[in-house]
Amino acid sequence: MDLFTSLKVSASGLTAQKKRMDVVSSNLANVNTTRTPEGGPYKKKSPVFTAVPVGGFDDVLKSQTVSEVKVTEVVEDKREPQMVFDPSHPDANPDGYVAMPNINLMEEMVDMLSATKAYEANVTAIHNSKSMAQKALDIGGR
Amino acid sequence: MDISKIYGENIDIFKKVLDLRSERHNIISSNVANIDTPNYKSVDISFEEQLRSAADSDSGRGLKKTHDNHLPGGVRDIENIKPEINIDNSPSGIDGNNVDIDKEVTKMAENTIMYNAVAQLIRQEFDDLKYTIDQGGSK
Repeated sequence: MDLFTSLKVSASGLTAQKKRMDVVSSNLANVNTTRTPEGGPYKKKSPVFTAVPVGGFDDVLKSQTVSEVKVTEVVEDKREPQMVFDPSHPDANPDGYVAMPNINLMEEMVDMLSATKAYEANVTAIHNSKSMAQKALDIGGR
Repeated sequence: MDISKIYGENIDIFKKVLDLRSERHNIISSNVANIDTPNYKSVDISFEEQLRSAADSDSGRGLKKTHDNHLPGGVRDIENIKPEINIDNSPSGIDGNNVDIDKEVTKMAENTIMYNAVAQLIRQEFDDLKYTIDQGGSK
């Protein structure tokens, strides 16, 4: 009877959603950033989630059905930046257009809500794990 | 000695139910953790039918009765119940993920309640036993 696997899995969910929040925060903070160390405007970033099966070779059931989640990389948006007409901007090109980050505020806000909800669901899972472990411990009696 | 003589007839079922429920909890936690993982499909296990038939039937009997006076023998085959894995193939979103968070959280609540109920039943068995032992010694 193993209740620690579920804790490990839920913890990985919390970490992954947190990382996703970090990325969303970075995107929101840099919505007007035109200069980056690599040159050019800030590019929208997205986390890539990957499922990692748990369980060693001895537990076939687990390795088929239970997976942690990991953020394996954070990719940059490959789309062209948005060109906005603003001749007075210090980074305007000769035609008066500024290359702005391709970040959609609505997309980011929805992403943030989704990450929050998923985070809370993982916290609920942890409460359930704790409750079951506690009940099992109670079997021994006072 | 047959453990059920001390701990009650159904301790073998209770044990198995706790194991199965905790496996199912691991799986539901996995679904919740992977709610945003592309191409992840929701997984579940089922075991109620198998438990019921193993608990009810004579199918586990190891000994054959060839004469009416033979005593019934054999054990219920609870140990070897293998849960059935169901991979959900309901339609998924654009990223290939089909985990429904509301369904998962509800399943988890139900599973936890069932687990806690059986744990409590086991606790009760032990408490009754303890009471009996204590009372046996008192004047």
